[in-house]
Amino acid sequence: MTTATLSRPVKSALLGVQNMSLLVGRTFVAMVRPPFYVRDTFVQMDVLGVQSLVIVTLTGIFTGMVLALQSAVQLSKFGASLFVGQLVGASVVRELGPVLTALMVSGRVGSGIAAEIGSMRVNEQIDALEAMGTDPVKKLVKPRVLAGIIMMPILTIATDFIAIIGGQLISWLMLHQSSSTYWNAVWSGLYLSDLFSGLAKPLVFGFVITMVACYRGLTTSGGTEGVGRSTTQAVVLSSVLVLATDFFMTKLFIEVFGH
Amino acid sequence: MFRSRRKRKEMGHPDLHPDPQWSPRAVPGRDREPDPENRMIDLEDVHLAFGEKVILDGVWLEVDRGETLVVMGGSGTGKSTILRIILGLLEPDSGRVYVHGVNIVHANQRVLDQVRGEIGMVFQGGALFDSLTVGENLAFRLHERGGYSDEEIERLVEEKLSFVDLESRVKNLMPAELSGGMRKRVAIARAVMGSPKIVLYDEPTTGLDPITSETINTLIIKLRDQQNVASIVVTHDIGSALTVGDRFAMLKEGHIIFEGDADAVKTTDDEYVRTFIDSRMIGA
Repeated sequence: MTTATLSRPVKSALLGVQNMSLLVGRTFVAMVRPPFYVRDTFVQMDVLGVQSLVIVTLTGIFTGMVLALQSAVQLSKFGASLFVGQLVGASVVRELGPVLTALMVSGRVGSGIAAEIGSMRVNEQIDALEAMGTDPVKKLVKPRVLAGIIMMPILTIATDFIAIIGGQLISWLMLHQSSSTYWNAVWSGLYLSDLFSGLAKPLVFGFVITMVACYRGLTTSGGTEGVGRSTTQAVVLSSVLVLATDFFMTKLFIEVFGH
Repeated sequence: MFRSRRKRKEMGHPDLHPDPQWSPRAVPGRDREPDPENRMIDLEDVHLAFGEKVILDGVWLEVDRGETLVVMGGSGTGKSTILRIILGLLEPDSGRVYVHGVNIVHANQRVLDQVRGEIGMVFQGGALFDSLTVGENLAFRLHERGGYSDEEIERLVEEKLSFVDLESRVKNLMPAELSGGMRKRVAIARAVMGSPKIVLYDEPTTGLDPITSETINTLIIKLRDQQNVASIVVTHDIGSALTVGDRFAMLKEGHIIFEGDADAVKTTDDEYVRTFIDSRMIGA
């Protein structure tokens, strides 16, 4: 393999990082500059948040149930089934709630954003926006990113709550635990810092998912085939970035809070 | 002192000043001196390349108020690129692009936005916003610009729909519900919202049947005659070109290889232009 063939993908990747960073910068600037497109932001909050409630509810209930089921089987062997609530609560609030919600939203909303903006790009609608003096970053990116930042923590709270309810269902059916026993165990496994990290993570995930999807959409080329490619890349890249960001944020929180 | 958006709208664009170094080039084959007041577009020695591929290699073009310039050429020769450069969507590698005397190369966003306010663009596929109704598409520019009341916008939408011979009820339809010809007409109506002084057309009749093409040609002529706009029509539909054009330019390998009026087109000795026109006429 020659140096030239080696350098092409590296150059392409570096160019992608540079363009993505520029878009992030332009989005931050756009956040504080009018017009604010409040109506568009509320529409996106509905699309991203309210319309994702069913999928996060299903994710939450089954995650909580399977977590309780697995831990009930294992902990019962040591006579420690009272700790099921503690395990479910801590796992869901610290990790599974934020990450699984982000992955579901990435699949549902990230793909939708990339496809919508990508179609606008290949059909020259983005050019038409610019030709009429409208900044696509302000009109398209800003409302979606704001909606992601606002709605992801709310969706995560919903997932967390429903997952813990799912766990309670299993602990009641399998272990015949009372509601108060289960909830006491849940609370005893949680720290205030868990609440903080459990809400800080989705905020960052919301930003990452919407930003990547908007970037992939805006850089779409190659007609309808290109739209399909952008959609796939948006989901894959945002999912990987969610998992990577989760690792680094978890590391940071452990350093800061000590657990 | 801050001015209201309404006030700014009424005053035009106080920030736009012609470049002091700009003097309009004489139109080839035309005797009269160029008039800076009437000169709407001047492209001077514009070069553009994408990597190794040279798209424009020293293009000179000019369009006066009330005039329609048709840019012809084969596919992929950079005809549409010229329109994108005039809109400031693409920046040339070198050269100067004057819109009413204002050089938009390296211009800041504020100047670009103001210059774009003077230009209406009809994209090849219409580029109507799928998620908005026809009425909302037409009103979009005015909403963005601000300073218009709802009643005023409603009146202007109806007026422009009537201008392109569409019924008022069309404003409630979604773009997906329109035929190809209707989409083009709506695109023209949207381009002329806000009364631009320049209208750019990218392949306005491509993919349309002859009768609908004739309707679009008539609209382009009507717009030039009634609103005295400067127009550039990019097309390889020779029939349409000869109907709407006042002057013609042929683009080949990044250069304008021919420029002249309809008579010059019909009598040119240039072999490429002759072959291009004859083959297209037979094809049509």
